[in-house]
Amino acid sequence: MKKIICITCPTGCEMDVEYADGKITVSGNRCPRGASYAESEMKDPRRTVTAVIRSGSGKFQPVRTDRPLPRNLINGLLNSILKKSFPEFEPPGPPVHCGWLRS
Amino acid sequence: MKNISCDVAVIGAGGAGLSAAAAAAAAGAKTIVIDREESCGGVLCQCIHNGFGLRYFNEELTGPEYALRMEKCAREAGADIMLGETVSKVIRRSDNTFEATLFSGANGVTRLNARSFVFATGCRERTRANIAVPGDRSAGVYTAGSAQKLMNLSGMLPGKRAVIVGSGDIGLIMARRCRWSGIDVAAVVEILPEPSGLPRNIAQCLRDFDIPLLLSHRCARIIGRDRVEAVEIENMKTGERFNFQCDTVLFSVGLIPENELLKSMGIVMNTATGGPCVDASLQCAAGVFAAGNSLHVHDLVDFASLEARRAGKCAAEYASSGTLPVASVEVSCSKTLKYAVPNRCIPGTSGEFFFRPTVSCARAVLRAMTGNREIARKLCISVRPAEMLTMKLEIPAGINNVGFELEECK
Repeated sequence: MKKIICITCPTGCEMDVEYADGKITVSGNRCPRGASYAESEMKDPRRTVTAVIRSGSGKFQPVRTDRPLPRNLINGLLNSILKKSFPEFEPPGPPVHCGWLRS
Repeated sequence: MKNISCDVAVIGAGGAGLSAAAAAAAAGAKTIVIDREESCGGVLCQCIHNGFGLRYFNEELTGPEYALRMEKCAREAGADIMLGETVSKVIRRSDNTFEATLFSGANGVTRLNARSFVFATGCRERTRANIAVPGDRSAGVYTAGSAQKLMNLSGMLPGKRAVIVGSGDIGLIMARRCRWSGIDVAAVVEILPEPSGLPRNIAQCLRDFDIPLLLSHRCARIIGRDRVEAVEIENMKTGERFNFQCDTVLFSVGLIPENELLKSMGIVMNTATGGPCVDASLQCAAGVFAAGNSLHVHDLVDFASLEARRAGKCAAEYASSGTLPVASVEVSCSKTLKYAVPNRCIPGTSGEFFFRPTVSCARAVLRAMTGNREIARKLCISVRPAEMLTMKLEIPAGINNVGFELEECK
């Protein structure tokens, strides 16, 4: 049995998760989002990533991933954001669109 | 000198001020929001992480996204926003209207005339000096929020290896921000036996990165002639001392409501909150309202915004009618609650109260009493000082006091 804290909302339910024979049993969650978070956390943990990017004028703009990303891909993503500059993006331009960083 | 007038003036264009302005403008008042920064949002602009907005917008947003949404709400409701303007003085005239002095490089001095004022001026951070940490006066010592501003708005790194003092949410968020930016985090040190931040931030900001959280430990000394070289940590239970090598120390040791303007107007402060004493309209003197973190430190911006709606709406009502219902019911609380806000409420109305518990427990009952008579109760689950409690209450007519009690369920 594993104890995990749900990160879906500020309530932060402490959940007990049982993972045996591919079957997951969750208790302690106060809403269904807790159960689906626990399942994802056991099988394929993911996080939403936020960072800043350098725009053409040297100013920094906040960005986020449009969905939670597998945890093992986060360092690679952050490194590629760090190395890249975004001369075409000028503040106070439009917010960066979801998927914009994929290219 | 420029001279402008409005019904409701709001000082501070953060999560509370914009929400108060939206409510005041929606109630029909000519509303102006003033902020000394060049953009709206206050501290939200540097809080680039997600986790905001679930309660107010039913959607998870980052700080800058939340600020944009709230700015849109205020503008669409018809509020004007003046940026880059600092308020240096607010005085009450003999006719009970107010006159504020604003200044900026662009416009010089401006006189602002208003019928009512909402103060949503936020907080400052407590610093190393506030908690009197001895040792060398080395470079590399920051408050967590100033390091956050450096990293997220200026794209600069504060150092290479950090120790974070205090386990408040800003410190926890900064632990992750450091690790995601290639800065090593030696440990988070908390003087209390339990963490001060939300459990989900312990999970996603510390456990995800195997960052040690040392409870019941304090930062006893900072070592380093020019730059920080180490911090000396003391175990509060055993007295044992040891060093962490680091070049950076971030202090996340609490917030201080910023109420210099209110104090200069002679407003009475509440020593438990650091904010003004207010009635159910969030009014601290006739026509003077307060909301957000300068009233009391909130756990979530969503609650600050929700609370501020009431201040904005009541400020608009005062501006048009010149009077509000008299709040004659005195509010008090038991030792298990650090405070209750507001401090006075109106008999025969429904009211909403905010509390900070001083205790931690799995389950507790929050009771509203008048004398020995219970008028309402609520079961609270996982009570922690890090989280606010709220209660909605129908206040009976004809009473003159309400006392709140929080009692642990054994």
